[in-house]
Amino acid sequence: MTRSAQRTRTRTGAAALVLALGLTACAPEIPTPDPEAPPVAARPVLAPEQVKAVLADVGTALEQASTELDRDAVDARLTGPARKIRRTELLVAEVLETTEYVTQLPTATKSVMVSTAETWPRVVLAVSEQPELQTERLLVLEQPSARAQYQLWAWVRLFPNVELPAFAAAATGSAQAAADAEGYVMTPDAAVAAYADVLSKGSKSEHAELFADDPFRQQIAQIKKLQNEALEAADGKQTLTFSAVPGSVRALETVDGGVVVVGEMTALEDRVAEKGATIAPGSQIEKALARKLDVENEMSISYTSTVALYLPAEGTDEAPVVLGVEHVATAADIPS
Amino acid sequence: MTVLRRVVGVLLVVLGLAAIAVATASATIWRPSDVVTARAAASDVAMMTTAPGVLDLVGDEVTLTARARDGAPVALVLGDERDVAGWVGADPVVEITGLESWTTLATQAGDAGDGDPTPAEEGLPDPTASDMWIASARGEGTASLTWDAPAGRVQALVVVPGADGVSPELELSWPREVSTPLLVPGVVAGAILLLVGAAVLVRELLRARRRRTAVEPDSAAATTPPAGVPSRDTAPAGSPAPGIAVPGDDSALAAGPAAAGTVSAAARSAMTRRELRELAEREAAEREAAEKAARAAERRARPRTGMLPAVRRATSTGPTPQVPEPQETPTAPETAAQPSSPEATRADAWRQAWGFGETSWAPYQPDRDTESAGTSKPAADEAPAADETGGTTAPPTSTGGAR
Repeated sequence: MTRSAQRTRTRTGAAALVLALGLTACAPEIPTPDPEAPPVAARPVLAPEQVKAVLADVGTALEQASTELDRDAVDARLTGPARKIRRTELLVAEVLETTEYVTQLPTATKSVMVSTAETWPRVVLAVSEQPELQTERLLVLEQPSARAQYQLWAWVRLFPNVELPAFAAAATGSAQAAADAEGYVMTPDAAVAAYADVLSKGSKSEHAELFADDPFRQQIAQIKKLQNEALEAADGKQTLTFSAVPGSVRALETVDGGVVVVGEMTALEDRVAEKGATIAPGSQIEKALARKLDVENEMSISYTSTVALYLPAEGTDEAPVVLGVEHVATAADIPS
Repeated sequence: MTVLRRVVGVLLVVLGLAAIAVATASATIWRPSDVVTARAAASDVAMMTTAPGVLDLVGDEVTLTARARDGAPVALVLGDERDVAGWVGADPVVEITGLESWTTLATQAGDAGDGDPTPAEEGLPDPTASDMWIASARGEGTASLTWDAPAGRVQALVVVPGADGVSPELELSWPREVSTPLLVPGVVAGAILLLVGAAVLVRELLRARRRRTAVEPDSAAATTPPAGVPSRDTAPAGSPAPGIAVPGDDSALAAGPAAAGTVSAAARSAMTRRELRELAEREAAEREAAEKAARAAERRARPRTGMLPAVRRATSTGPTPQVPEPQETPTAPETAAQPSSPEATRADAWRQAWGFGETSWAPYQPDRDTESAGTSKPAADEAPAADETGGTTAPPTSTGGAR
């Protein structure tokens, strides 16, 4: 080897050594955060296990309240019409010393429909398991604000043989519809108001043809007829008027573009007989509610009701369907 | 030349060892720590969050530890981006955005959300009660969580609930896989340099040794005489030079019919077949020796690069022509004036041995021999002159018989 080649080799060896020393002396670079991109598609607000945890908590609260007949136990996890109804049921149970009239609410679910809302309030629907000899319940859970917990807002007893519309899977989530959302045969709050009108006026309602006949409507018609027949002898009258509570509509969209709406209604039943007649509360619940009242010829009973409706998308020829109703007397009074 | 080679060899060995040492050190002594722990504290603010991407900044598994002084309750939760933002709302928050150094987290004031901030006297609620979180932990003074699922855009939220005005501190620590990329290449490169340097040094050592032992054969080859004449007569005393095939045991036999390089045709015909074969072998050996001598002469004339000139030792044991003992040459004319002094005869013998005796070289002349008187005539002519001059040593014209 020639001298110059040897010298070059020595020089490159020395350079490599210096480079190696320099590299070891340098510490590794401080990393910078590199998160994945924000998700573009809508995501459900709760994971399935989180829904299960919420329902388990609700179930625990309900069971505790039922067991101890403690009305305050439901305050943490129930709200809105559900809380009102449950408190009354517990009161009646306490008075009557029986839990027969406390609605069974299983919190094990067949299916769950989760909203994809980015803001609050957020809604989750759940179809519960079937309690013995009764139909399933449709539970409505709501988180009113970020720092609040999920609470049971309402439930309805589904009619027998009703077919629920198809929802997106719980892992995908369903969009939440506002009370005045367009795109359906009616807006959600208008639909609830129309149904309340139909219940109140029966076949005389302008929306009578809109809704197909359903068991509750028939039941209400039946009650009215019987009560009026009974009171007629005393020259009395019974009126039952439903009215939708404004701003209390929760709606989740279905896969086919329709929407399932759950709305709160109040009902007022007035029984008036002629002066001097005595009317008595009909059911045990009424008796419990009116126990402190001295009922003569008049009484009025207030009900809290919830109804679940399915509204098809606008443009289809389908009619809205009533899926289920809950109707519980919550107060008795003597109208002045 | 050898010095430079040796220096380069040693340098390469040293570089090789140094590279191996540095590479090993980079993997042991200078190896960065296996756990990275960084922390940040908030001041005057009761909430801290981490920006998306901070939880898996250094590794997949992160241990979060939230602390509040004086044993104040502290809550630590992990949640989705929108859930955390919704919970924070319009209240002031410190956001951790990354690593400022390997032990400190970088922070900045978080963006104010919409809405009204919570009044100071109310204090913040405890977030662990909310259903939104992926994981949550709560404690007095300290709370910790470990998270090793893919972080995505998960954020951590630290809250000191209540209205005490205590600010939290958050510490994140990741186990880190420390790679030592210089170890294997460094050791390999160092080993290569080491081997190359060692090879250079070893080669130098071998060459030096070979050079020492090569001096004798070189000098022996250089001193071979151009003609193999004397070597035939003499039994080589020392070790014969390689390549010169001197049939030692034949020298005695060859003494008789030996001639000065050429053997007359008449003499050849007089030999037996065996003697002819031997003669042919000898001539072949002669030629070889002549070629070897020629090559040696060339080498002397153009030495190899890097080769130091070989110094011939004074004492040489190679075959050198031996000066024969001075003999009485049995020339016919006794009266020929022969230089009778012993020095003269010895000098003559030397001259003869080295081929300086012949003043003229002429083919064999039978006239000379038969007329011994003829030969002596010029000698006789000269002799009286010589006698007169008194012992001039006139070289006798010999017929070469005495040789």
